[in-house]
Amino acid sequence: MLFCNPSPISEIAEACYRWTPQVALSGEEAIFLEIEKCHRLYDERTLVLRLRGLLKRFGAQARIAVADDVFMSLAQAKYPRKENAFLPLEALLDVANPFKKNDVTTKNVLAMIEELKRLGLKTLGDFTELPVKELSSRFQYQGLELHRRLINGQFDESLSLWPRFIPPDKIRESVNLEYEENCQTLEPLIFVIKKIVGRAMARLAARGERLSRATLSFKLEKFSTVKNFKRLWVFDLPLSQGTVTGLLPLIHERLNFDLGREPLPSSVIEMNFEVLETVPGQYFQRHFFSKKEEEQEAWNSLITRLCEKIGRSYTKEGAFVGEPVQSYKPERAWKRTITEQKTEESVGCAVGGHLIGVDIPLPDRPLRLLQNPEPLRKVENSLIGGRAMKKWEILDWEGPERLSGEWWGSEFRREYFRVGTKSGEQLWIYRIPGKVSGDSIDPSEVYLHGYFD
Amino acid sequence: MNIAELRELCKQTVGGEKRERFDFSLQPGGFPRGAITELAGLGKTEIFVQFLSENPKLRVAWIEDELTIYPCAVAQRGVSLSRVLFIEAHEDILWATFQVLRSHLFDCVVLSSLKTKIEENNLRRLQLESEKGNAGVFLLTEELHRAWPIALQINVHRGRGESAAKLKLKRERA
Repeated sequence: MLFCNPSPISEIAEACYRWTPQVALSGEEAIFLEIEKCHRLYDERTLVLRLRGLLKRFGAQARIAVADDVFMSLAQAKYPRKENAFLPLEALLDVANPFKKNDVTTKNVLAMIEELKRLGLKTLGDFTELPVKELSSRFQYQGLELHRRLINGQFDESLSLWPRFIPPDKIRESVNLEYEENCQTLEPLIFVIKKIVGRAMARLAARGERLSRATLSFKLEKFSTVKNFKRLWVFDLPLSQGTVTGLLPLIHERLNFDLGREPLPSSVIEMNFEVLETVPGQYFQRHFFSKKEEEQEAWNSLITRLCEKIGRSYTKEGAFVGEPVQSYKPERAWKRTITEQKTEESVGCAVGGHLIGVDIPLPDRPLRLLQNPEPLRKVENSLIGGRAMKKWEILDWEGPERLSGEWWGSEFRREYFRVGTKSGEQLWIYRIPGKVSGDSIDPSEVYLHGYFD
Repeated sequence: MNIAELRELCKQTVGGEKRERFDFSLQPGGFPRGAITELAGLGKTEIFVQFLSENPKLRVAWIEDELTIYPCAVAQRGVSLSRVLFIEAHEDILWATFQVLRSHLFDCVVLSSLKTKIEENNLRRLQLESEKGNAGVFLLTEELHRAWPIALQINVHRGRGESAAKLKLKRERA
């Protein structure tokens, strides 16, 4: 890829790791990708299309050429010709020094090109037709080496000399909006945000990582009335994100909420998106025949947005999967977990009606459990209480089921009853034994814990 | 067999109904996909959990104002908890429901323990979203809504001293 104008070449090179681990830079001018070993994953045409998509995302323009050798790809990108033989003599500079490492070589080759032009040669084809003996006597070893590279179509030292590009550890994307208009409200800003987040996510995807924590900051225009010139948002994601489509709705919702409460006092002149924490990604290459990756992204995005919106006002785990926990207390026999989506294979086996590791079936638990048990009063053959001071006429009692334990922590003893009522409702109540005389229930010690709905 | 059930069986035989359906042993013809179904009365949750245990491949989003569903009891009735996403949405219950429906990740979306009735325009929006995502929206309510966007309304009834509930078809819109 040969860049036509100043571009974020390091960032683009980093994003290219998605397709090949062999990435090299030629100064600030070009990026080389070794794709010979990746031909099973994609063909040349597909790669060129995907590279064009990446360049569009970074707002860069570049000429892309595919060739058998590093130097030929550079020469083809610089001087597009149908055949290598028609390339101008200036292409010898790229053949001699594709990575722009040796200035001495460049000087010598420039002198050689001048000499060849004086002799009436115009293209690389003319150069390759020269006899080898003439070359050695006129241009010494450099002439011979260039001739050998062009004839044999090989660059022997290519791999050993390949200056591998190593991306920087920190991922930070910025955009300057000093000369832009309408940068004070969210709607126009979201387009810019999408652009910089997209770039950062492309770089992360190339590293095989997913985003788990990031910051977005705005630098505001300095007016005398503006007290705080910076606005910062930290995105601490409960489930990691791998694509911009999953992350953008979350950013949009957060900013919409915050800017609704406190609008920006002046225009944004600079925007930064910085990745603070990442986790290893699951999929490096997209699977063509499975939607698992997309579903995973959609799941993570949904959970993150639900937790973000609901968790801001209430519990952090607004959306969760219930996980059974070993505990004798019914209300503590499960916990909320935020997990990644389970695969099809793992779905299907339910925890049956017994304790883990114990084969004795438990009596049915009620489908509705009150978070705080409500005290009931027993008056003759009725139970009165609950939030709405409701009255239930008792039909039958089933029980007791005695539950006790956890002496190491908060010890408890309870006797549970399933109570059938005349209205058809079935209650799950408990009493605390030890404070009861005979079979009669102490009214102050009966609690409604759930109901069979 | 009452008239509504007979009509349902006729539809199945003739093939007049194009909408996909979830199978359920207690309801002839099952529950419709891409539509709203309402269950009301005592024993509605038991019935619905039984439906989930009969359809072990369905992914479910269980949304409530304040969570009262007891996941251990759901698991005890043979439903794998790993396929149920519980959401305690408080006042954002409708927002959460639309997010869930638009994600197209779930086959069933359950709205339960609603403090207030859902307005008809919101029911219509739910119906459209469920149609788009081909997901079944299930309302577990105390009393049936009087609203046309609900495709199937069922009264669940549990008699005195009975532990098992029975279904009574109230209304079905084609």
